[in-house]
Amino acid sequence: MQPLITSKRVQIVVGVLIVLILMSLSFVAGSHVSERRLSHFSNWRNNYPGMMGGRWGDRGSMMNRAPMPLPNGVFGRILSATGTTLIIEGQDHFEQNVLVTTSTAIRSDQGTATFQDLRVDQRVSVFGRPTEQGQIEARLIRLLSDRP
Amino acid sequence: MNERAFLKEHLAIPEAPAHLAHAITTRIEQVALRRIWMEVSLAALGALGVLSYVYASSSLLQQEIQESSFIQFTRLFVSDPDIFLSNIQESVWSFVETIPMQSILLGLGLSLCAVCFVGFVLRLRQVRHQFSLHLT
Repeated sequence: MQPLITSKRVQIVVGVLIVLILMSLSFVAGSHVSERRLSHFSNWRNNYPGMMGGRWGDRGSMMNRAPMPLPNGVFGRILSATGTTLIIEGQDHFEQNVLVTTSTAIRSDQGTATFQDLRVDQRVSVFGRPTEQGQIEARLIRLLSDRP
Repeated sequence: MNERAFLKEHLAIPEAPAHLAHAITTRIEQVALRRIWMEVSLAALGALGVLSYVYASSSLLQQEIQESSFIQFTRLFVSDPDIFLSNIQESVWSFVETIPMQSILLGLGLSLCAVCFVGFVLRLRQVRHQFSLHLT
């Protein structure tokens, strides 16, 4: 089979161009990811006392925290479930405020669940989108069994 | 046809004396073997370096993999793909944001070193075999 580009010089130029494009794409994606995480962290920090009802979290566990909370989900135990909001302590030791809306799907191994099935100390996985108030608007809440 | 090709076609290739041909072949073999041994040693050193790093930080790496949100998102994606597919933009960002880069880079480094090491050892065997045919 005949190679598409026969000239060595053109091959080098095309190779360099491909590498440059890949590097630029990685840079843009990296910047966007950092911007999203920083924005969520900033909103989360500014609204923390209001979101958590005045509580300031477990100071002891702060030493083991990840640098920033995840903007798109939280995986951990429910600390409180009131009205339409859940406070969940994630495995990264960040307490996140999760907003449950009418479009939130709540599921368990047995099938569909309701907000009433969410009890304190229940292990859950949440997937959603970050809001400007530092909350996570849940799209999916999956109840997990208690075994680790 | 250029001058070089013309000469190559019409002039007889001179035969080197046997002892000279042998000396040249031996010298070429020595240079080739030295180079390959250097490459093998570098690949082995690289693999050793990555392995010792993995060993030194194995508990940290294991914790990173076990507690990685990437794994949790993957589990959720497997159990509830409909939600993820209907929120495709958020899904893509959630995976991109949680990729365990350290583990992936270490894995790639280790694989690269292993592939290079095996490749160089095979080349070493091949060169030795070729020269042994010439020299006997």
